[in-house]
Amino acid sequence: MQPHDRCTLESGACRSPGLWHPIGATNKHRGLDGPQKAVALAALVLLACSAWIVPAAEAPKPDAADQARYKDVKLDGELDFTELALLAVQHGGRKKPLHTLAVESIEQLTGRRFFLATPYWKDPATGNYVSALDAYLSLWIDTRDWTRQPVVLVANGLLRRETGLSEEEKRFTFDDLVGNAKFQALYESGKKKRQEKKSAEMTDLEKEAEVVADRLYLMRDIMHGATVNCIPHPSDPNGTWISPQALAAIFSSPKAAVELVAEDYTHGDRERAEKIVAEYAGHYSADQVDGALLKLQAVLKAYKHRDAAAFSQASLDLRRTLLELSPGVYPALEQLDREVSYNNLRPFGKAWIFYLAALVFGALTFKVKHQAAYAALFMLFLGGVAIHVYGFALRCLIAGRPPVSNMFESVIWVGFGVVAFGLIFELIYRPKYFLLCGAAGGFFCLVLMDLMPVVLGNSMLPGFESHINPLVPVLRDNFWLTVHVLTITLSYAAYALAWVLAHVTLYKHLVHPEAKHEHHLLHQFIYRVIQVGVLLLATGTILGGVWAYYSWGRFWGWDPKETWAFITLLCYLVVLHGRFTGLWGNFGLCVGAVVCFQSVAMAWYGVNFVLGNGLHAYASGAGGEEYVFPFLAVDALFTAAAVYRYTSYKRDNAESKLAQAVNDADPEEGDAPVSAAAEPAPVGK
Amino acid sequence: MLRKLFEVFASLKLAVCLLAVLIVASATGTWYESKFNADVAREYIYNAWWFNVWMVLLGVNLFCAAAIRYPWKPHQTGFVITHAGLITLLIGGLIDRKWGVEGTIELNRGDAPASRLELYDQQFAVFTPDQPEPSVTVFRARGSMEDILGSSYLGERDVTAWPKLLGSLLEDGPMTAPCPARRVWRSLPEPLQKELKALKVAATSELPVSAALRSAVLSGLNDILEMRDFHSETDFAGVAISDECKRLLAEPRELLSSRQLQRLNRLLLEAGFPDALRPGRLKAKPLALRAPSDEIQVRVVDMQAAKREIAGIRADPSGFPALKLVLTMAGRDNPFFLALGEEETPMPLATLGFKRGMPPASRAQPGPQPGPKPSGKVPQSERHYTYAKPLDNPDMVTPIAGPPANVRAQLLLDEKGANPKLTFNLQGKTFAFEVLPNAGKELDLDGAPGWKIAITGYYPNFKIAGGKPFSDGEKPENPCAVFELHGPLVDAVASAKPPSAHGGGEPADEGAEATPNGITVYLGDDGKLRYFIRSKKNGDQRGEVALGAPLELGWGNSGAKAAVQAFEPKGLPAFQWLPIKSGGAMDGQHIALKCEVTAGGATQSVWVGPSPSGSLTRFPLDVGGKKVELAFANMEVQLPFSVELLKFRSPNQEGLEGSDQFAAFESTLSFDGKLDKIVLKPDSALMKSAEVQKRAGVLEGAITNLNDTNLTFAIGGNEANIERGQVEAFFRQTHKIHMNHPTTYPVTWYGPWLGTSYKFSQASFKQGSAETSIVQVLRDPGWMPKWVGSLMICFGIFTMFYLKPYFRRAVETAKEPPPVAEQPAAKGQEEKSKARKEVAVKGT
Repeated sequence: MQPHDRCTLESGACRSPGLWHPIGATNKHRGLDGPQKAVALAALVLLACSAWIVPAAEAPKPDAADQARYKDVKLDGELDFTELALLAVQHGGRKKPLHTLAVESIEQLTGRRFFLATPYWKDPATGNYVSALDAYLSLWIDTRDWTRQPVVLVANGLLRRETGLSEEEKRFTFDDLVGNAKFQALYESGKKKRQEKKSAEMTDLEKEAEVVADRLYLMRDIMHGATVNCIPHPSDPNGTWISPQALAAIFSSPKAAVELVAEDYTHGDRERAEKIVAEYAGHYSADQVDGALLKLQAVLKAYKHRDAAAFSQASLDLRRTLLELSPGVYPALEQLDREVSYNNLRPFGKAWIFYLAALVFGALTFKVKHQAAYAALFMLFLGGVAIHVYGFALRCLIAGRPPVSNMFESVIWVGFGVVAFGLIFELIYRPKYFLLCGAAGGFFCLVLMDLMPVVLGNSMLPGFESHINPLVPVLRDNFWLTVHVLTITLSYAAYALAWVLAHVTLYKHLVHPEAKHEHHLLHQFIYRVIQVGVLLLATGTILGGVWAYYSWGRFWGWDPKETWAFITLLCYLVVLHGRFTGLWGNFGLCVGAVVCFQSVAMAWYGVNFVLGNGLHAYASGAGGEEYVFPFLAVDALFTAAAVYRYTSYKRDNAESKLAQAVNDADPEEGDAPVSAAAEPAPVGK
Repeated sequence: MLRKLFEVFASLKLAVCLLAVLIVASATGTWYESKFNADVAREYIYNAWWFNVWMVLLGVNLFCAAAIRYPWKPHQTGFVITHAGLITLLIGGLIDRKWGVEGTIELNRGDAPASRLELYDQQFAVFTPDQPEPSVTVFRARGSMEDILGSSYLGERDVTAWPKLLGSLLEDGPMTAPCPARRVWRSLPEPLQKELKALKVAATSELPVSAALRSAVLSGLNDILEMRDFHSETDFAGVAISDECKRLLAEPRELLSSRQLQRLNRLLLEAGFPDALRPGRLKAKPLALRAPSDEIQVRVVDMQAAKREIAGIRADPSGFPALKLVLTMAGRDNPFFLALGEEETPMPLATLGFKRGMPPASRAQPGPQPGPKPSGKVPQSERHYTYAKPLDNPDMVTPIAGPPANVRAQLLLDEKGANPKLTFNLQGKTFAFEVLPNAGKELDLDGAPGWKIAITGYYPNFKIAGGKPFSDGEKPENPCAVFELHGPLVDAVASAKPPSAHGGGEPADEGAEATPNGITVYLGDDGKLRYFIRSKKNGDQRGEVALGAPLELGWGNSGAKAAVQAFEPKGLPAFQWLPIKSGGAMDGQHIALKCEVTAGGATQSVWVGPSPSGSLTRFPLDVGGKKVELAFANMEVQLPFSVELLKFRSPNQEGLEGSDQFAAFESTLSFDGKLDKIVLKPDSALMKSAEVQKRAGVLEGAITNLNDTNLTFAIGGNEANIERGQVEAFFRQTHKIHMNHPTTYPVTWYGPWLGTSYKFSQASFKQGSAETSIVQVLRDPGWMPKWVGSLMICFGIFTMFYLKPYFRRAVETAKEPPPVAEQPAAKGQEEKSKARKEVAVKGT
């Protein structure tokens, strides 16, 4: 989404392949002309080329020699990035620590996310693992010819084949991709279509090429330092922050700086760029600016020399200097610190391990009646919930809002809902099933979100990215809207729990068709959970209507998202009413819990990703169908098998038929622990 | 019998069936919306009659299901509440459908208060002479044109046989014999031709076609779709062409929308490569409109943003002298429509003009000429465009001849916006004229000898299209009177060149020096037209104009000719609609419909644009000997109050931080014009300086600037800044709306509850205009039942699921036997209950 906009809007710098080149030969810088070039160059030189940082591309060297040279440089470990990680930058519409920017950027560039707590990036030259921030700095000042290292992800196999890249490798060098004529042609034709507003006619290959091109632009920007907008706006908390380069340009040649700012920050709007330049030039003195730029140089110098003591000191100095520039605008240290610790903790990545452990342990000790086993299972489950909630709270605090703005956050929230409902029902009924199913649901949600980029090899699947982004204005500061969204998604969580329970039940029917008591118990549980879902979904849908009426006077507008929420509600109502009439019995309810979840999938995921339009477009995106639909198909097969088994068993076994009739006719008369709060018999006619 | 019907309607099986159909229908609706747009989904599903019938059935089912169980038992409380809530909700929905209002108002800052609400629906009327009433179709045409034609673009899937396509291109393309492949080949870019030729070496039955090549060929073919002149008579001579294609080919190209053009070229490509390309299907059926008789069929084949262009001049009592001048150059006719006093420069160094007076005698002898009507003498005259709205320059003066008369006129309207009156000062005397009774007359000005006034027109909503003034509707939104002042004769040469305020004409001979070529038509006092042609080659010519007779211009070597083909002493431009060539519909542009009228075996297409607010402009057609008139207008509703935009703001900084996206728009509205009048203390500075003071203590003027603490108020050229404290009442009356923050009007305590008030919310803004706000207006009288019903549903479900045991327990403790035994068992369940008893017996 955003990267594509950038591409079309910033096309001035991207027109010919030669201009992609990040540092390289100096005259290629950014494709600026005349005085702008001079200023940009001056800024760059000031920053990067102060005698000790020489761009590595001055003369091409044989690769083998490169490798040998870089083997000598030790990259890992000895530098302390704690201070630098806390440097505030403005990026993607909010202020975040440099650490977050580095993690997000490297993730997008290489498509790798760190697994568990392992430092995640294996340096291709040395074989060492480096942290995201280390890698980011290394790219920024280009410590070793990064354009010739295979770091840029090309996830799509077809694209690799069509452009003649190696089909075994997944990551390629910047130079290779930029020099690849077929890739360029694909990208250009796609860009042309997008510019002519015909993006619907883009082929899959062109879209993939665009994704890769976005990575190339990102890498170019990192190597320019253009993404590090660490200079705080002098007065306005919502103002535009700029990069050190732009700051240097403002104080050396304001006129050319306007061009630079217009290109980088205002989509070419000269008027606003002039305003920004004037604000910076008016508020900061030359001394302040020199001080800040010198501090930054010191950091980069210390990094280049791997001087641990100097690096820590310089990082601290730099952060303090920037803070002093505009103390009113600079975010609080604890806020930055919170986000860095969130990044490092990766709570959702840890929570699913607990859920998995609880699931495995619970499954193994399911028959064990001992209290200790149950207690251990409970502890494991609670451990997962605790980390899950803690991460959730951190994320809320960082974003300053409840996290339900995109698919990632929504799935995390639903995962939380599943475990929460599991916990509540477990506390009421204590059959172990709820803990296990809750753990399974939570595990499924979290592991999907945590590992999907790794599985798909593409961290940029829109809507599923884990980045914390600001809300679209329509959703901001809106208590009732938030409640409406949370309620609806919570009902999805209930349906998800019912879905998991239904699978367990179907499995029981499949494997132990004779275990009536067990079946009956599970049927009751499913019914209970679906009740919660129906109540929440009805309330949530109506809340949406009420909110919409107060927002613009329309209660119901047949928007796809709300229509599908309505359809979901109707589906479950059909299941419940069908059971009352005797169209189907408890087993039907169980199958219904599985089948109707498809409507939840449609309302939750399909509207945004398959239909892809409507007012509720905040979570829109595309892709993933190739995984979702086969999954649903397999699920349907499993259900069909269970249904077959159930009916054939029923047919074969007359005795069981009799007993089943009892169960079906009047669920409440069973001796299940739920009888205290059970349903009446179907009301006759 | 009745009982049986009642039971059927109360049955749960019917409920399940109703719900199932509702599920399928709604799902189809969302799919329609994804494939087409929201309006289509609404038209065919959600607002369709059968959907509503279904909803009513559901309501009946809900009612019967609850009624049949009467008298209700305590444990049924939740069930009854829920069902009653659902019925209430459905009733609310029906009330909304019947009496609800949905629409938008476009508000411009500085415009008069608006009270016409534009609904989302449009109406299309078909008139025939033999029917007194038109046939009207109501529909939503806001969707873009893709909804009917779909995309003609060729994708990978559209090519069914690559070897055939490429083989035919390679074999026939470079040949000289005419065939479609040759036409395509010539249209392909050269690098692609080379690449294809290189393929030919290896051309066998199985061509090696890489994805990159496929993509390149497709992009070449798709470029062809855009070509205006792709069709060639020779290349497509022997090719079988579909009827649709023939129809499109028969139409003038400028009447084809870009989508239709793509469709035409796509059809041609399909005809050229019949075995290799999949036929592109229309996305939807053309919309058939209701027609007065079966013999006439009207179908909407396309919808697109369109612009209005002048097609001719029609006689109108409120018009100007106007003529149609056709310039024939290099074999092509170029029509020009000139109103009196206008001049056009269609090409460098040549001007066309239409002026009052006589042609000048000669360039060489400027100055007074002897004779009864010296052609060098012209009456001192000027044209005024006088606006009633307080503008920077409410009286624009266009000099026609002679020095300026230094007249500043004012146009005043009464409180209802009617009875326009002109006042001005000339030679120390004040003159006042009623505009409407005097329109079209030439009156002497008593007290100013030699001066006359001719009021040529009055436009309640003055607009200019194609350089021509017209009134967009009869509502006094931008009232303007046009009049001419004619004074004593002055020397044409002596007249100083006055500053032109309206880009109007110049004194007769001024242009002669600058432009060597030109034709000027003069309207003499005798009502005759005379021409004056200047030519570098042939020198000056002059003479009387004969309508339709070509005049040799002698400009360059092109053999240019000119002819005055039409003249109206009082004329106004007649318009036609043409599709806009490039791009899709911009926000705020008019969507026109392309209609195909079939009658008497003939078919004719015409673009029909929306009529101005509050009227129905008819487009007359003569198809197959039948006279048909088409008209298309937005449905409108008169609000019982008026609304005015005081201020519109689109703050940059409230969006994403550091970004330049607009995040929020904020309009400040005032209702019922209350704010036009601001009560000030009599001793305030503004009061003292104000020129116009209608009543003591009450001022009328315009708010020129407004912020949270003060406002600037302009009266008669004076501006004053008024602080908040002084006009507190004013600020209390303004309504601010922005995203998620609507306002309601009329303000009553019950309005928000009963939904009787209108809700105004910020919907959009006009691209490129900082002063136009688009406001959505909704009124939902069904709100109260919806709201109560919703509460009941939520409470009822909760009761049903979680409180039922308590109700039941209360009953159980109160009386015997338990309620289970009371429940009558359904037929199918008798067996089961028997079984249950058996089990129970066995168990004991």
